[in-house]
Amino acid sequence: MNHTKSFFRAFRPIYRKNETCQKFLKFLTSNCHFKRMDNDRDQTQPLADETIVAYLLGELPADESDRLEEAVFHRNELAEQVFVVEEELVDDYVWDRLTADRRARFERHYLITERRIERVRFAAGLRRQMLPPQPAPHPMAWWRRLLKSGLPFTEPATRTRPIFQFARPALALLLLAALTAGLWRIVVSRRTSSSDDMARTASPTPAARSSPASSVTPASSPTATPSPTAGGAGTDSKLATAFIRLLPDVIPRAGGQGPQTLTLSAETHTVELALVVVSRDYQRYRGVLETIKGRRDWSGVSNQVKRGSSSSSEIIFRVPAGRFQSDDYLLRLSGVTGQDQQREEPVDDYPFTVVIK
Amino acid sequence: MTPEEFDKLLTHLDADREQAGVLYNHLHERLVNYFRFKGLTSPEDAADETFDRVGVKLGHGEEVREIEGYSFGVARIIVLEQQRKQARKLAALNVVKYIHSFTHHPDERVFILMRRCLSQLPTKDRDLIAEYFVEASGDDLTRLRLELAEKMEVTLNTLRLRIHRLRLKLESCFLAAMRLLE
Repeated sequence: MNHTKSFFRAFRPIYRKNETCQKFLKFLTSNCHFKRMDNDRDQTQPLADETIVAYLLGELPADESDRLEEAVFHRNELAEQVFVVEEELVDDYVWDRLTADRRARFERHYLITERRIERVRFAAGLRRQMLPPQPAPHPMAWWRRLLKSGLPFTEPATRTRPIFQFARPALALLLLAALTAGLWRIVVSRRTSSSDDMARTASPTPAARSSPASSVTPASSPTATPSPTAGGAGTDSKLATAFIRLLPDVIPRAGGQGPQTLTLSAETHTVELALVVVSRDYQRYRGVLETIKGRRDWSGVSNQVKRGSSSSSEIIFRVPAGRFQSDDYLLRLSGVTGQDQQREEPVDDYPFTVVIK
Repeated sequence: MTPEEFDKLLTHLDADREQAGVLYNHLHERLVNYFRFKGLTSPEDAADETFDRVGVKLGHGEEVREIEGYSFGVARIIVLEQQRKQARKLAALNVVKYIHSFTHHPDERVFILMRRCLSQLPTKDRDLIAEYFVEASGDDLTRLRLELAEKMEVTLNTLRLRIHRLRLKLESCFLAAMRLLE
């Protein structure tokens, strides 16, 4: 084989100029399964995974690094192997399987381009997805935080300016007092409103809101607006209208949870979706309901906007419950705009899961 | 690169235009793989840039004896240039701290995006990923993966390649979504 290669190399200048030779060589290469000269390198030895790792961590001497790079360039069949080894190295980093020395080398020699940082980010995301759900860290009790945040006797060594010694605890106490006052007002107003409700029992409604977490309207009045005090993802599957308040998928949910779940029963005939938007920029909104696989199940327009207590608002859509199956859904919200109200601009996506019991 | 320079490049690859086209694509693929291995952000663009520079050199009458070796030399220069640029950019960022921010304090949005990308894979592929990526260290991990390969009646290397290809799909979905988000 080596003789053949030498022959081909020597023959190359003639081959390039002579058409008959070209035809002859083409016949040889296509019928005798010779490798092309350009690809025919002597480096046919397999690469050890550990050599690739050592290269990526900057552990190889310069000449060996050069040889490895050349091999990767000239031998296409190595490409997948080096990418597999590289991914496994990134995994070892994010899963904490590298020694301290290699970890430091990884950070110094591997993390030198944005693309590689993206790879680590992806691997970290994948890792988190694969780990069993972790319970949310138990928040430190408020009184502990208060103590830690700066009662004068807790951190004497670090305090140099007496005037600031009392600023943080004073602020914390002030906030606490404001919070207590606010809660007190809510309790008082609830008591007042519940006594009003009792006074109104002479005209009963077909179904009542069962809990603060589930805002359910009676079957006979599907256009009724949900309670602004209703909780996040509350639903009561046994009632005629189910309600769920959805956050856009860019807003993190508390406790590191995934998408919200809407539980429906055979009796549910309407689902009221309240989509939280951070800023209300449109008079009308269009909602398109799709399964996570992209099947479009419903679309509708709403101009019913409820202003929330903070800067956020809610856009209300009512969807027939029959449109849902047990599946993962995405409600795509867009704002209707333009002089003729024909243009739509995407606002946000709202993922949620439906379970039919 | 002008059409004349491109023509010269093809002629250097092979006198037969059809064969030259095949070799061009082949060389392009190898350049892309090389740039990907070197961690460049856009390996395809870098491969095009390599051909541009080689074409211009040929157009200026540069004597090139072996086009592949010459292209590899140009590719190395492009890598050095890009790495220098990246070093300047990353100098402003404390990379380790930045990495730490998303490995130790995970972003909820990343979780949602990854979940969405995973949901786009067929169930059997999702299950395979879940079985492959487990929390184990060193020998235990190798043993678990060998057992998985045996269960699937494939070699460990075949399993690794299968995971690599699934991962590529997942990664392209995830990174595209992240770029939209940012």
